[in-house]
Amino acid sequence: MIEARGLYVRTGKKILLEDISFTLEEGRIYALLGRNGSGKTTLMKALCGSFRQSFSQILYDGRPLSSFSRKERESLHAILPQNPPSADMTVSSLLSLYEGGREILKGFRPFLDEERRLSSLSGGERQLVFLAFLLSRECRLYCLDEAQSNLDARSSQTAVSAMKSLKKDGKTVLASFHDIHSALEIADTLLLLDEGRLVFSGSREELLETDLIGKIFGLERRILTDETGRSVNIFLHRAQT
Amino acid sequence: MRKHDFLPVSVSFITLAAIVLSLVCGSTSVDLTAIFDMSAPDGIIFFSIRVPRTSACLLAGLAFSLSGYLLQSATGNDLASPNIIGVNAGAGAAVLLFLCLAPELFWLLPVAAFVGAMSAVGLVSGITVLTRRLDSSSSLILAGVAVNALFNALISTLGSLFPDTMSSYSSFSAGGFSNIDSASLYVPAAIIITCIAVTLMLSRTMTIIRLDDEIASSCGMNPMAVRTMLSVLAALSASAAVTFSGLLGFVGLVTPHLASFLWPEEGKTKLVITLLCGSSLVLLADVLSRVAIRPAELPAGVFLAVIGVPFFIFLLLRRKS
Repeated sequence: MIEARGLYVRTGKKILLEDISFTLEEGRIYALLGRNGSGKTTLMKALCGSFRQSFSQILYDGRPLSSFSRKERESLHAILPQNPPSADMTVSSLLSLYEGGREILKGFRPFLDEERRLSSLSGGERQLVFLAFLLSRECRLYCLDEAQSNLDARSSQTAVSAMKSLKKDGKTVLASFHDIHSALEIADTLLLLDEGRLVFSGSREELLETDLIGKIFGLERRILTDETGRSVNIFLHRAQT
Repeated sequence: MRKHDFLPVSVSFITLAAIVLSLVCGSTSVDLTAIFDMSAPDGIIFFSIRVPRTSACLLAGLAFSLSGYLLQSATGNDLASPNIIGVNAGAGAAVLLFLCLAPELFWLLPVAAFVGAMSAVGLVSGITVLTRRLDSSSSLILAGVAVNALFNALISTLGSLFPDTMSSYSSFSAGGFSNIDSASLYVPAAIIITCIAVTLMLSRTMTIIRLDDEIASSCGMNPMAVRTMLSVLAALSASAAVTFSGLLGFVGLVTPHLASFLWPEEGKTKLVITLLCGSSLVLLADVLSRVAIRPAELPAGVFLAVIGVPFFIFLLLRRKS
């Protein structure tokens, strides 16, 4: 069990996250939603050890992050940044750093040219390579910061399959989404951030009972029925409705 | 076996050939069959001049290439190298200051050089962090220009105040290996070899820190601490070499790129290739400096600059494109 207890992050005078508390359980996918600048990336970075000031507010099985050694922290969390770095190194140099996730990685082989340098890859290709790198690590928590934002439809499906595989393996997945529909489809639990505060934590159904998506994103919900009779939630900008 | 797998062996052979060339070539050619006769000139020249000089070249090549490799990893900037960001000038100014004020304590020279080199690293890091652009090449290079200017001003001031000590300044400034004394190599050699051993152990950490701070933190690291440690190792190895080679430039800039071109994979092999390239380059530059206008000598740094300057311009152009 991974816990944030009164998580608070600030840089200089600016408060990025304020009094955030939640629990993440194993074998579940959590979607992190919020407008740009609401603190999604900061929250993921905090959970993955980027802010030493918040180490005592993040607990793995009741133990604060500060009590883990460097080696132990390496097997706690992994992150896929929103803009993966374009360092001057080859794909194979990156993927040879860790040995895990070999089964999941097989699905990525057709997309990866291991001889190429990261700096020569497009944004989408680099995102896929770093997703493969994330999966090569054996951790408890996997944070994916808008993993699908630069991916085409086929690669995006690969990313979704990867999240589901991690869930099946009993891992905890926390992913931020640009697209609310994907979040509602994939996630077991949704966390909604607004101006650095957690305003909602619960299931898809619970979220849809509220008007939070409308209030925060300015979207209006429509329910359509497909040819099989299944109801599908569609969110449209108010101007479009 | 992949097409690149023979490369480490080839580079090792080139280094070995450069060592042999350095031992036999010079203002006087040495006959290798006569070197063990210590009463003959060849024996004396070989053991008291050529062996210390070749060792010095080898060590300087290792030290400056290691320093460049470490600085480029620590800053994530492929233009970082000990002479560009002022590490050499800082170490050189401290060495000259020490020689002017306390020449009898010459065995403490590596400590003085390290203090000077670390001052340069501290100043450059301070300026770039203040401008919040540590990974920006222009910010780093401009900070390096400022720090270089500061230490060169100090060197010039020392030149005016202590003209006797500064008589050999021009050769020190260009970098070279004439009049190398074996005793002056022991402490720097121990420092350089220790730095290489530590860096080899940090090879995986360096690959991760080259990515970005976010990923490095998620791998359990404290990125600032790792970058500081790499910078200290870089300053330590370059300053150790400055004490006997002078301000030898461009080795630290050129060799990591050369190694990256020859061996694209990150890790220990690439580090070893960088070190071998550095040693070969300095050894060959020194041989050229000895034979170009025989029996007179040019500083080895002149030949390194001839290779390094066009390469630096090439790098700048490549970044622009």
